[in-house]
Amino acid sequence: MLSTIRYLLNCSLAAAVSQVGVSHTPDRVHGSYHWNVERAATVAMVPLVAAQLTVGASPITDALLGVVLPIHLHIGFDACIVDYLPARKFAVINKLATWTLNLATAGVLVGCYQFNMHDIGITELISRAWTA
Amino acid sequence: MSVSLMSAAAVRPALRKHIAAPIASYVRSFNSSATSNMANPAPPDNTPAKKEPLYKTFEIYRWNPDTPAEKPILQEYKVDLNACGPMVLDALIKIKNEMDPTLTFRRSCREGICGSCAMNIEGGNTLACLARIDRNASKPLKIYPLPNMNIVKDLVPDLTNFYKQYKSIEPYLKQKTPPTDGKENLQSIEDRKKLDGLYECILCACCSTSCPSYWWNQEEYLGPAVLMQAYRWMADSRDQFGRERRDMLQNQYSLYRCHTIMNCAKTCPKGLNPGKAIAQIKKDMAFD
Repeated sequence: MLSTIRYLLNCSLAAAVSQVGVSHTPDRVHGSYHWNVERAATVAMVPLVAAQLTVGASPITDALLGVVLPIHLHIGFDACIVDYLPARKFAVINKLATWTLNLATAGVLVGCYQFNMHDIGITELISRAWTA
Repeated sequence: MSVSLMSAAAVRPALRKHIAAPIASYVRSFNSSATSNMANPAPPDNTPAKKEPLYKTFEIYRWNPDTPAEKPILQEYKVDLNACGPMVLDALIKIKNEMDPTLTFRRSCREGICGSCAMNIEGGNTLACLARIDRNASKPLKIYPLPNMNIVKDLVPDLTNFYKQYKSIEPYLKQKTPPTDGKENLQSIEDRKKLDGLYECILCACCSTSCPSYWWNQEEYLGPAVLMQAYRWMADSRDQFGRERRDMLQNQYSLYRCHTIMNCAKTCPKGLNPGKAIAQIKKDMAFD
């Protein structure tokens, strides 16, 4: 008797839960892992920028910044796409924007690498632009 | 002994009638203080002096589902604040009773405990029963329904999705191993204290409807009110499904659309802080 009631209750609850707008299967990559990377990139920026300001141009900070900064920017722009162009409402534009961003970030990563290796580097660029 | 008691009891009613009554009237006529020190009773025809009427304009959002093609309007009502209670809800009830019975809004407890009269008053979400009317009559007071919600009529928003989201977080005690004596779920005073600032939520939806993330993505983002209740059950020492509850939020939308804008904490008419509860969930999930 009790188990029957419990079963019916579970059924009705399951039905109620399934009515909620959109349900998601647990996915840590888009959940906590994503958030952890976002926070880590943000926190990592603090000593990197501090080193830029105090020590000045150095191949190590330039190389690290050439990775952390694009990641930080990518996550920020990606949040804009997820917030304002959700696939739920803009199926095509969402795909387009996401892939444009992915390509752009890949390009920036390669660009930062090239610039740091074969040119003056990020820190020196900023300091020159600052005084220009 | 017993005989004398009985006779005394038999005599007493007679005593009361013939002796006690004159004494009482004598005592009443005796005053120990001067009459000039006593409050003067108002003459029977002197009603309290009437205050000058103070008319304030209320501009209230109106939309009627019976005429859906007509655009919503702001309708003006002039209310005499000196013949009205101090709160916005008092004015709304006065308008509905005395001027326009078609004005529609939700209300119940009129003391900030039911959460029915949540609406947007002078640009902020709050409970009409807890919002004082600004007595500066030169400025109109604007009242809108909760923002970015589907409207049923006038100031009544459709909260169906909000309640479904609340249901989806399973807001009740869940256990794997019930208490061994089968009776009570004991909890230490310290553990009980962890629920303070969470359990007081009345689900008025002021916070969720003040959150821009909730405006854009309420189909998928659970919003501050529901997330704080989700945390209320994660934080409960008697609940044993904290991990599973957090796993339900492992996706892009349910939780992580919170960008700590903190409108929720700013607007909460009960002074709670849903943003902090959400930050706690994020922190716990980072270490899960």
